[in-house]
Amino acid sequence: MSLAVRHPLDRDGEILEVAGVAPSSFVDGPGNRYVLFLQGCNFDCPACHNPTTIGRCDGCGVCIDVCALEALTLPVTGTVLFHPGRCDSCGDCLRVCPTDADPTIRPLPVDEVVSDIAVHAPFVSGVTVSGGEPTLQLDGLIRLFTRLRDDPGLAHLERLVDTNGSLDRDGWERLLEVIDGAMVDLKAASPQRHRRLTGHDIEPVIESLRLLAERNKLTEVRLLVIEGETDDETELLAWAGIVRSVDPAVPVRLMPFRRQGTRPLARRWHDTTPETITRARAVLVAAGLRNVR
Amino acid sequence: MPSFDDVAHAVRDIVTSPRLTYRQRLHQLALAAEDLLPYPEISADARRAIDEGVVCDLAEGHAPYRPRYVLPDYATALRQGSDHLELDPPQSLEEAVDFLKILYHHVPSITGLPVYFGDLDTILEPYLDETWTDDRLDRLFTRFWRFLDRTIPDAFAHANIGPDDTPITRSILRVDRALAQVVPNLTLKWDPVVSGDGLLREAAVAIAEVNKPHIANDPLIRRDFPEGYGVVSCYNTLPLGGGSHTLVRLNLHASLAHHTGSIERYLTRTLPDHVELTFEVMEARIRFLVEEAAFYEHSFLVDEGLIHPERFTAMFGIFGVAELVEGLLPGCTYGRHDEAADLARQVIDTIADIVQSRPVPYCRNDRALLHAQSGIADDVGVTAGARVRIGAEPELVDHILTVAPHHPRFPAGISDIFALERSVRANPQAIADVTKGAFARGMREITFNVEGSDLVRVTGYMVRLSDVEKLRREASRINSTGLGADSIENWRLLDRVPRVIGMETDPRMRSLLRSG
Repeated sequence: MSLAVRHPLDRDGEILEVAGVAPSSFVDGPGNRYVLFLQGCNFDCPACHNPTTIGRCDGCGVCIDVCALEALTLPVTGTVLFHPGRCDSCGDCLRVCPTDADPTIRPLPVDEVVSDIAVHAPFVSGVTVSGGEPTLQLDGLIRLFTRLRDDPGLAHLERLVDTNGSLDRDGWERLLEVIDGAMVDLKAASPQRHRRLTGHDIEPVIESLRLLAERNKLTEVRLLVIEGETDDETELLAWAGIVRSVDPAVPVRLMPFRRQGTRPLARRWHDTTPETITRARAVLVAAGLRNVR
Repeated sequence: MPSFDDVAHAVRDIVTSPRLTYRQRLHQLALAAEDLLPYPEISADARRAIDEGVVCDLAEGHAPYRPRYVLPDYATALRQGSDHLELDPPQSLEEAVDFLKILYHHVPSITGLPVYFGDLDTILEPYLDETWTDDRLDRLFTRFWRFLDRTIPDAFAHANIGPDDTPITRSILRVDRALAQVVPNLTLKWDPVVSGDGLLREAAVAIAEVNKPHIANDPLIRRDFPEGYGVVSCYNTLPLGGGSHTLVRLNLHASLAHHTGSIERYLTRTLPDHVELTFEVMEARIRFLVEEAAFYEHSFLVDEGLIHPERFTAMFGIFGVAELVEGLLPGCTYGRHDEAADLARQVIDTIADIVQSRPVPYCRNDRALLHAQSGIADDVGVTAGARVRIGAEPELVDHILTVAPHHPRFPAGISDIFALERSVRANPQAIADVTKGAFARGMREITFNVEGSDLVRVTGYMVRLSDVEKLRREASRINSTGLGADSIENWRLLDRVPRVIGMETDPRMRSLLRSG
């Protein structure tokens, strides 16, 4: 296709706004994974290392002016058009975007995604949909997973979502029909800190954890370890307490914070050292979590 | 002929070299002596092809007096004992291991040391009884592995395991991973039905740590070798109880330098001419080995039925496919553009068709076997075999899909090294997944280099980076360290782009949306 067209938001769930694809990933679930990154997130975490996946393009057109190669145009008010052939990936459009969106992405029909997954299926254990926050595009997500589940050649692929846990109960009820599990970020334990680190309340996340554990679909809980924020003992003990009350045996993964790619708000933090991770792991294990990686 | 003074000078350099051990000096002296003889008789055109680097005999020497690769039938030897070595058949597992250690000492090859230690689990399995616990096996194989690494210090020496999943198979994987030695090189013959996922998973765990074993697609390769096969040296698949007289290579990059005109003309004239010159050199070398040196008439390995002259083939190696197709198609990158992949396929088919139809004297089925040559340290600026250029690798699966279609045409072996990011260490199942996918798409064999290991794969053999560093100051006890050091430097070997990078580190990776 020579010209990519940005569709207005699709209501039937036939279109996914995809920020990126990793046809092979070793870090998004067990085994080799095909990973789809969906655009848009309702959390606003300063520590996000991929902030250009947070916003969704509203067609404001600010990016048009900075694109020296005219790879972006605005033929109709409110619709940015991307011409991939002209783009040299300089990234200027991403830097000026007031909504942290990515004007170069193109909405993809679910069928096209399924075809690409089919090419890579022999090489992977499963498909992980990440983001952004994938459950914001719930209809498309469910449609995608349903297609995978119902295709005899693809049904064996494990279907996971990588989520911030903000989806409500009704949403989960629909999604749980078609997924094998969810990997959930629990970014802090104290409500104030959670709000500061994500811009959102912690309660819906804890409710999601409980529901997923109840249904045996909680694949992993992750903690982003930020020195001076989520690495002190009180915070870690509280975090362990929440997770233990959900399921003490759930796999827990500690992720070291990295400054690279984050926005200025996160620059006050340092890269988390391996020693801090080791210490945090020891605290969580001592607090009764049985499966900390 | 070099002058006496030249020879004396070269000999003096060898016997005084601080970077060579005693045995390495001895081996070099033998090579220097051999090269005093005239080259086997070849035409002026063939001579020129060698001098210009179009045909490369890998400096095998002027007077072949032993086959390049020998794969003795060790199972037969263990069963019948050896008159020549005055050894009765071993009665226990420990005796069997001792028997093999003795026999290895008498197996020749181009390196002066054996390149094949046998399918160790298969040949030793009959000696296993209930007294052999895993712990006892591990201790036995730890001793055996140390013996091999210290007395046969050459990374081309290769052990095979699988496809059966036996206690010995598992013990070897455990011990090999714990010791992380250069020797032996190790190949797992894997069959999805016979071996199962558990064994592949165990191999993946070892690969994630020490970049070994190499994995062979057993059902596919077995079809080409009804007599059985072994994987030896750098990914060479050869008949069991036989081997390869010689390996002569065609440098496709150099071949292009001697071509003018269209692609069509290259495929119909230049290439077939160069293929024939390669055959001429190969044939001259084989005739010397068989008729003049008469190796097969004076070897107890033949007399005792451990090797059979009719199971020896010759290897026709090619390399520089990447540079050839990129030279013929300016602006195209092999591994990224379909036109380049299609042309590579045409080139390989042209060569493979000739190799399959041209008789070669004294060879198994009267034919040589095509091999995608993994390369030597001197191949500066030319990519090994049919590999994608270092630095031009596409995404992992695209990379596999680019090279997999070539695999059926290389019965004597074709390799590629897939560099993996170190995050795979926490998730070795990913290695098993990729291997299964690659085999399902027809790859004959696969090998990985995981970032951050001291033990790395060079062409097919292994080298420890710490040994390379040490070699700057002193002789290495391992013969192949020098080759590895030169290759790493000459090929920017450690620059192979690691896969897989997650979106976590690069949001702008390949994406459906930007394929345009």
